[in-house]
Amino acid sequence: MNMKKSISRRNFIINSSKAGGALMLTFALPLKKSPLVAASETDFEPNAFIRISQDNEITLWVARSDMGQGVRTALPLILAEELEVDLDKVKIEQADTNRDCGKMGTGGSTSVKQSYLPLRQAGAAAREMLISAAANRWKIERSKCIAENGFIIHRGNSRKLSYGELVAEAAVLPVPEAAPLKEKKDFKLIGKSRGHLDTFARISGTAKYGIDLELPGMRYASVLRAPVFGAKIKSFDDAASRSIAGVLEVFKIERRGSGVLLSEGIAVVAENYWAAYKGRMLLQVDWDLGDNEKLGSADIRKQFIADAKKTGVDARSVGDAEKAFTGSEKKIESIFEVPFASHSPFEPMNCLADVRPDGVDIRGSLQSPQWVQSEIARELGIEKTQVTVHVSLLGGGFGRRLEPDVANEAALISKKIAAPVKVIWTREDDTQHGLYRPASYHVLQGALDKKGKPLVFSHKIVAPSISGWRWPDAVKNGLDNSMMEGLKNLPYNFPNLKLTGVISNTPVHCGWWRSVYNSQNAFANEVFMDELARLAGQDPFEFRLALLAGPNRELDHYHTHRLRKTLEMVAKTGNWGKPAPGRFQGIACHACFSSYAAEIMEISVEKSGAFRLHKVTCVVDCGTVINPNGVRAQVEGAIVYGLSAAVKDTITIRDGRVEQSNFHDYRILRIDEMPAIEVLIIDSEEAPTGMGEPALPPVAAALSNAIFAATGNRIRKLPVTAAAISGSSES
Amino acid sequence: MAKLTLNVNGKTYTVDVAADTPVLWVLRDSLKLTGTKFGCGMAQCGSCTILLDGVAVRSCTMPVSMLVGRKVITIEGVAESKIGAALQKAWLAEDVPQCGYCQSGQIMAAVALLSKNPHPGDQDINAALNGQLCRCGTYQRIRKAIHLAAAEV
Ligand code: FES
Ligand code: FES
Repeated sequence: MNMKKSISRRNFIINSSKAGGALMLTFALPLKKSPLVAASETDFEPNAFIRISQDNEITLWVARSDMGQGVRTALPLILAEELEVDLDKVKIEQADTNRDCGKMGTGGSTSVKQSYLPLRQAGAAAREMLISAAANRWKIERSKCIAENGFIIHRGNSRKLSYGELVAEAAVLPVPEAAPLKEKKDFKLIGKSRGHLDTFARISGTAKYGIDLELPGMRYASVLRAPVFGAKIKSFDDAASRSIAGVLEVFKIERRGSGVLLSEGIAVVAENYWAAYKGRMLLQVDWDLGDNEKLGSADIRKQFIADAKKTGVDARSVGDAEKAFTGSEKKIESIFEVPFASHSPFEPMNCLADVRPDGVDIRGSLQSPQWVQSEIARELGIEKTQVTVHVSLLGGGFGRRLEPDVANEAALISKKIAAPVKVIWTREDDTQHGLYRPASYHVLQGALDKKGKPLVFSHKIVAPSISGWRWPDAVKNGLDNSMMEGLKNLPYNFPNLKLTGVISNTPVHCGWWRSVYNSQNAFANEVFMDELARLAGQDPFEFRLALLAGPNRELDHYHTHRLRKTLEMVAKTGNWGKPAPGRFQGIACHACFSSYAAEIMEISVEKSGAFRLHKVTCVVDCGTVINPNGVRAQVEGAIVYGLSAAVKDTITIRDGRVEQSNFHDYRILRIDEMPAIEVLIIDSEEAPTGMGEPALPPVAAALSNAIFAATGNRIRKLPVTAAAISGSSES
Repeated sequence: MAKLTLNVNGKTYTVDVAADTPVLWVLRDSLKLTGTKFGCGMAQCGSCTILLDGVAVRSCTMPVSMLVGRKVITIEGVAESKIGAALQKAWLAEDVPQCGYCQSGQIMAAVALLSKNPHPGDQDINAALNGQLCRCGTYQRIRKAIHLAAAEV
């Protein structure tokens, strides 16, 4: 294997090599710096590979988890575009950690955003090398050769060579420094809607999710975990469990490493899942319930209210909001409250671990294989290179599968029994041992000047810090920056702004839930904007528009003109101000994960407070669109996910435990409650940006604003209840 | 343990399992038919839906002993019927799945619906699929796909 290196523009490094006569390009898809990735960004660590074989087989290995967001279609599509082949010619393979190294991890709606240019450059480089190889073979000028449909064609001559016929020669050529990228007008694949590549596997029972994986000699495990946050096992009686036919071993899981993500637990290992589950249900445990035995949602709320009195740490301020607020005669203050929420991906958490003396293999539905790799290495006291993580298809993730907890648990059990084991959580385990969206409490103040012009906007978020709760070092100057996402970049041009945060940690495990803090911050911001518009006697759409007017302002890489256009388009597409008879509208917009979304919710309400969601119109700007069908699906999904959290059940705490357990008390939206969703995607030349999350944050606010339009009752506390809608409970 | 003979997707299987094992786990772990999914284990989500003598049932709460002498169809066998194949085709056309985890159950419920009611209205779809949850929010596409398949058969 001889390696050639080239530094192409923008410092993407592409290596080429000849492996078994095939052309192999390796390159790196960058990953946003996050606490999940400790590795240095400057090192070149290839984590994506393209291989074109002599049989014309094109394979793309990527390290990105597909949880339903369609990266397994979008990424090969980008490559196929530059490489001038049809999408069905590109096979996509999931890269494993270790064997394939490099940074892996899927979160923050970044897969397409970060892969777009590197993938195009790699595709273009391969195409140019193939063209050069053909030109050399035919001894003609490169400009006489064109790449088309998997062939290099001699222009004006009928001869052509397939890529496979050229790879051996192409592989020894230098990688071009800056292979030209196609122009948008020449795109054949990017921007055209198409179905996802593995749709058929997903509807025929052949797709393999983590829970479907098997190894010879595999055991099954079910784990009983401490019911109260921080509780410990005093002693347990497993006689009844062991009497179940098929139960092999019962033991307390002994942890070594960080373990902050695991509750103490007892594993029941059996020959089949049902025996493991039955055995686990028969365990008798004497718990030391610890300090949180009495903790309830009301206590957490009390803590938030007390912490809200503290001075917030400034994330951004303009003018003097306090002084202007005190001096104004037209002002309001509102409190917003958002509850804990569970991810509840449809595939319950599970993992297949095989810990052997010669190495460890972890298989499953995982969003951050690299974090899993380092956690397990630490937990087992071995080298990272001894741990290989294989990612399967994911039955939903939404941020829950970023966590290494279940893989860690499986590895510890496998080590103890010296056999491969598949740990399967019950839905109850999933609901009660999640890492929840943190509950939050928001104090907003707004004021107008004497002429009724916007004067002050201030917002203080009080919430647990997801990072600080795990890694105290992540908090800088008393502030967790991620808490301010969707807040510090508030786009509205108020002369006085104050955007602050107060960390208020609780014993409740918290994690990254779809759109993270944007879901809470946007709810408060966008409902409050509605309140301010009413205070000013203005239409809520016009009120926002005026505060986005003027020359473009760039806030934290967000552009006000893009948000303004998104908002204008939604007003047009969603018939703002002209709802169907008997219906009422609410509007909201928000920018996050580098994308922009605006939504109009149309509802009707009965006297009882019962309401019906009729229609959601959503306009998004996510830059260049790779696959419009994929974007639409993500928007539909994010809206439904946001609606479930806004109008259905939430996670509440009582006696130190999560009260909900399964889909009967943690209900989600059903088909009969589903509104029609219309999606419009703004045509854009900008780089593609993430779309897995951005349509979620505006949903709850648009709904609350529609409810106000219908009833005059303001919903500032989620979830929405019929009592609050009918005005019979204060909210 | 009990030795039982089962008829699944037209094939005969013999299994030796605890008689109270839910059908779901026998399909998945003993017969290796993993297309039927575990979602809640308490008849709340529909991801484990199969056809038992043509009727959609939840396999997670049904003991395997109840299968004896009856015919089971799972997602792996759904393409054998005209309705099943038409539904899969429509599911492809509408590109319904996101993560896909709930989709076996959705399709099984849709097969049961179309077998009884070849031209369901929206209300019929709501009634028949109300218990089929989808966390990814594919409901709009499911509805369209059912209408499309109904028009085909
Ligand atoms: S797993 Fe059977 S209904 Fe949910
Ligand atoms: S497609 Fe993911 S749960 Fe339905």
